[in-house]
Amino acid sequence: MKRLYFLLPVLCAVVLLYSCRKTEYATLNSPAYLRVFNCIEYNQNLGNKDAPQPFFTFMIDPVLDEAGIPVSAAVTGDFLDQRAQWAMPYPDAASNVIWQKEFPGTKRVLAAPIVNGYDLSSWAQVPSGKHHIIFRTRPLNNTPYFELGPLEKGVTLIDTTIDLSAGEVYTMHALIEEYVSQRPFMYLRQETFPKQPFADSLVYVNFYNLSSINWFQLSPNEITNQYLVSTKLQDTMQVYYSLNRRNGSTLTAIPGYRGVPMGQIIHSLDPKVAPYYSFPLFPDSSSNKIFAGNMSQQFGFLGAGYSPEALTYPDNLPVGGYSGLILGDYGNQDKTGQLPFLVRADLRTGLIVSIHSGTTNPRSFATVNTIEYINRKFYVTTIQRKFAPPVY
Amino acid sequence: MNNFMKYKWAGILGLLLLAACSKDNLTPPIDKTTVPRNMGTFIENNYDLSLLSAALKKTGLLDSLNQAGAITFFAPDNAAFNRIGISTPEEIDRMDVDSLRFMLRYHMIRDRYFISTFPRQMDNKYTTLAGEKLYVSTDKVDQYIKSDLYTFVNGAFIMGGAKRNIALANGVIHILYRPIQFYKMTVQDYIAKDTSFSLFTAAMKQFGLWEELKTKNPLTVYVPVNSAFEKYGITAAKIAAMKPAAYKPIVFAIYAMQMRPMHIFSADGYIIGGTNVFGSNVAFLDGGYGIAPAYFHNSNENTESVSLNIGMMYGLNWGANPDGPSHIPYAGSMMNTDHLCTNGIVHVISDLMLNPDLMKQ
Repeated sequence: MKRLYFLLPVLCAVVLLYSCRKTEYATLNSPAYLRVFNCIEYNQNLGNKDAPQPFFTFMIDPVLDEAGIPVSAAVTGDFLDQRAQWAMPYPDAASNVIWQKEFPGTKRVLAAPIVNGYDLSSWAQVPSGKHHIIFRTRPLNNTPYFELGPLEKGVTLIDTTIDLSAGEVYTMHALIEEYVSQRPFMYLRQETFPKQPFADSLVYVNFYNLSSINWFQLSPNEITNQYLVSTKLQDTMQVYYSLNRRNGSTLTAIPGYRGVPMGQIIHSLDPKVAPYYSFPLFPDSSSNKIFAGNMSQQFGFLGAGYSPEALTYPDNLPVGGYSGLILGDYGNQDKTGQLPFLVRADLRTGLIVSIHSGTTNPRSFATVNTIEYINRKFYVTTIQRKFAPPVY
Repeated sequence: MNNFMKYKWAGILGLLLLAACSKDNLTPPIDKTTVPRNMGTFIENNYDLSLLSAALKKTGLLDSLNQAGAITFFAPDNAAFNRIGISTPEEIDRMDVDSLRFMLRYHMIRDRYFISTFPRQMDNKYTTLAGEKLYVSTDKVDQYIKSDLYTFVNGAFIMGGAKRNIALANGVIHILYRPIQFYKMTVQDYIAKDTSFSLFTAAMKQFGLWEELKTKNPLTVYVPVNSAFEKYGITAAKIAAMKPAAYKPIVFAIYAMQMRPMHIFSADGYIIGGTNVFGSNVAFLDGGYGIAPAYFHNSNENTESVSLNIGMMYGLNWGANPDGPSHIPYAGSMMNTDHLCTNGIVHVISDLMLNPDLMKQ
């Protein structure tokens, strides 16, 4: 008996091995990668208060009962609220919010892997192939969709089918197709950035104008109590960029980077990837090439016939003549006719991500960005390559 | 191996065995150490609810409120009954049992709903025990503290503080500022049965709008009482002599919001105004006219003020109504609002929105 006591440590080791949390890992064969944004705005007034509100449950392959109400779905993106101005390069894993700014957002899903160096953890793995998708309105509360009462299960605003190829990266939007009818529709774009030969010393950006048809012509140019100067974009506008440093409240362009022609922003609801343009990660020759230094990126959108040099006071231009967007460290700037759109993105460096990596804090990384203009709002999506974890 | 080591290893093994179990997520059990009373008992023993208790006894519903099964009861207290002119149990006793029972059951919905469980939006529909639907609207913006979120049932205010979220063994009670109403008839029938609306009825018939009050759904109708017409010297004979073609079409269509599909309760303008978007609390009609129902609840004095603002959009700005009063009180009292019918809501007002003499074309 006594000799058997040596078995105790062995038994301990065996039990130790079995004592881990028992988790069944989900796997998906030949998945596609999908990220969904709800770009429809709340627009409630006394006259239309019965219209369904765009707070969605997004479902892939829903199972419907005889009344057409979903009872379950293969993939569910519940509590899909309006998207945020800046879609971060990776989801905020520590967040336990219920209402989501995007799908998958902070929902615990099988996230996409690193594809060609890009961190796609903001994309969910979904089964590839043909699928039925719906966007269903839901009440603005915290009850999961399938636990709602029959009166609360909303209406289907978008009902369509999609065909996803395995291993491809897709971005989906819920948009308004036409301004007068306010008809919502699904926009699915197959992204090409993982396949493009992008340098990691340049920051890439492309532009889309996904506004509703007739929106530019028919939506009001002035609304009481709202400052709307320079907020409308025509169907085709030229893009110029400036890279600024801030001194107090004054923004000064880095030498050589003031009003540089970049390309075009074209209004189209055709889901075609727009060309990527670039600017350098370290434009300032005096920088240490590790941290780009606090800076802001300013994009000017100009109608035909206008150039950034001639633009002194944009408030007097006709609607659609000029608009502008600034990102990063622009100080305590207010909306002006010169800078009608302000998106913070990375607090220090805007479209460049500066973060603790390795032993350097901060270290600046080049990114691939998508800037979307939708019905008087700019939305920025930043995609980052995988980087070395911080060493403390 | 010495004895100490043996015990140590045995102890570690024991701990590991305990730790080896599957780690399921736990939900803490609900505290059941104090058993609350049933809703019926609570109402019976509450002096502030004595009229409600009398009404429940008369209709035999008090016993139902002592049965198991969760119910949310939007309960009018004595002050609420007083506001519709009922102040003694004798007056309750004189009421028709069936309609009283229907009315009380219209204040109850199945399941337990605390204020925080109502979605933060307007017009959450719930089926009442009377079989008809009621609408719960919640304030979009936080007023003071979240537990006192402004919440309305069919336009009636749910009291704050200790008078809401009264959790009981078989349900929840929220005290209402005034009783809510549902009439199992169309808007047209509701207007036709009241003789104080006879001039409005005549005008709607004369202008060919009467039949739509039966067929359209939903509707919001602001009904001026006869005295409002008399103020402008309009009599039944004068209405009969009016030629619709001689007037702008909106002259009487404005009262039914031009038959547009709207259902507007008296507090809706207040709730939607919380979004702070200019014009969101206004229902705009043809010709630039806008109707904005105003509401205010003074929580210090527990008083409510409601009225109707009529205005006109001049370019980007909101101006006074050029063809009539800009501010109209509801007729009699605020209890003359939010009469919900099968195809719409009737509000009774004390003045004409547009002076017909100014509306000739």
